Amino acid sequence: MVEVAPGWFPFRASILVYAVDTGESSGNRGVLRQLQDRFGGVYSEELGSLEIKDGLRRCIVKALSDAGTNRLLVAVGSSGMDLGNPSTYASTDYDMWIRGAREAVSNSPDYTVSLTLKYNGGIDDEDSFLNHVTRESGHRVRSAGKVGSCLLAALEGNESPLISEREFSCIVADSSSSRLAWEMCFEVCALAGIRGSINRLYSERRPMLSQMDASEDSTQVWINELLARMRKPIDEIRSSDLEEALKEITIQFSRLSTLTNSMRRDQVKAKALIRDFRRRLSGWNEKPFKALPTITAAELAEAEDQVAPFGDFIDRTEALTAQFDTVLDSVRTYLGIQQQKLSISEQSSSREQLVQLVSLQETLHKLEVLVVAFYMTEMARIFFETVSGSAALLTALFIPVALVASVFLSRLLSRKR
Amino acid sequence: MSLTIPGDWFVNPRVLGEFYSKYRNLEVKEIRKVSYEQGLALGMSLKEQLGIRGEDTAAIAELLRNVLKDEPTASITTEKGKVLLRNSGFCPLMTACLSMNLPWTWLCSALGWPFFHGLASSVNPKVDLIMAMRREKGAPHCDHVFQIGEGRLIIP
Repeated sequence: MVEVAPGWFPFRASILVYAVDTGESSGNRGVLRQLQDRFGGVYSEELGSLEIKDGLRRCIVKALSDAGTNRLLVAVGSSGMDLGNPSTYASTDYDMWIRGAREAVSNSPDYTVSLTLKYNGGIDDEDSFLNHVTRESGHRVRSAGKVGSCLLAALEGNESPLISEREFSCIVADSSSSRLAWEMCFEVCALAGIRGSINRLYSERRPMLSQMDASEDSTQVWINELLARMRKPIDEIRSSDLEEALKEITIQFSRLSTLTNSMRRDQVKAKALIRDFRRRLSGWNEKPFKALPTITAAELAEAEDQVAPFGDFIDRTEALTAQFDTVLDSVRTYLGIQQQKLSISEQSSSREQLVQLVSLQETLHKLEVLVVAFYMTEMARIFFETVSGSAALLTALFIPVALVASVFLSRLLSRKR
Repeated sequence: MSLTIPGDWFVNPRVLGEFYSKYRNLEVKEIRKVSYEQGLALGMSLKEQLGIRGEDTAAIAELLRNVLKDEPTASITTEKGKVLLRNSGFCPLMTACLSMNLPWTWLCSALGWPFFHGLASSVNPKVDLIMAMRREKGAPHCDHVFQIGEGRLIIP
């Protein structure tokens, strides 16, 4: 959306970037209404802005929202400003509006940008620009560049990894200074929105990144202990130990892979934000200024450095996961060997059973022959007692016949089976 | 709104996510109370199962060791009337917070620490839990110090 620029020159602007609170019903527009209650002014729902007038003094507060990020641009100036007069820029009469906006935002901002703008009256060379910026801000210039007809300088601030504030100073060197100044305000505001999102992503992950060393150390110690346990002779490793190790590894493994994948998701998000950031900065077509690094190069390098620990975290958790694979392989190997031993012992025990079974069967066969011979002899004895007087002798003589007949019968039956 | 905490919150990130979206605007004090009760109930049942007797730090340490037996990077030591539970490994709450994009501080303060305080209180209701070091504040590990006192959860 192309922003409509007011006719007056904004000589100071503040941009606040903060997270959209999902529980907040009125959102960013609620802040504007709050400011209207406090300072008056004309609120436009359509433009998402509040314009405050006090004599010649002017303030505009614009509320912008996109993809989970709120931005509040507060710009102050005067409709009757003598752009060539340095004293007008130093006025503190306007600070209450900027302070008020900061107070109205309930969440602490993820990123704030202060931008001072000045028409180039009296600044005729590059050295005087740098001297002017350093003198006015009290900070050294960290990067600077020429963006269209503007000279823009970024000032040195806090050097902590969580960069939450940035200060820019801009000199507008053109007759259409008001329009250019507003364009610069909107550009810096868009850039601040992306930078704020990167900052928030980093600040949310910072506690996890900072405890990586300790977590990695203790996990490494545990892996070493586990591997030491695996180095024992195979007979000393019980299957309950392996089961316990397997359970512990599974818990740690799943935790680590969740961490790796979640951090990878965040890294992808960060990369997308950095791409947007680069695209936005390349649109500036910034030209170098003296020997200073350009704002584009410095800001991009800083944003990339900020999200680099995401990749380090992924690499380190992946290295641990690879070690878990080694431990898992050891456990699997031990389990395999134990299983093999078990099946060999099972095989030998079933062979013994088979031999016993065969011998039992043979004994049964012999018994079977005897039983049949006994029955035949008994039947013959009954027959001989009926037909002859010497039944005992005949029965005794019949015993070998009965045995032969029984063996013959048993073989015949087993052949049929 | 009656507050219920699912029993598997410490192992289930989805449950944590749902819990946070439901109760994020509720006073932390109320959530802490319910989480404390949950820890207390679990502690009581484990105490009975394991046959833990006594009310001293050794009994507290024994209970904690059993609860954390599957956490190989959690160390429990006792000295001079204190039990120190140090967790320096990859924390399950941290993992859930990272994967579900949840506020770590809120979850530890509302659910995690009161739960452990409740567990230890099942051994001795006068036990204090002092969170001496907290990873969610950037410390390299979490130090939970249990000592007999007035039964308070102290978060410096």
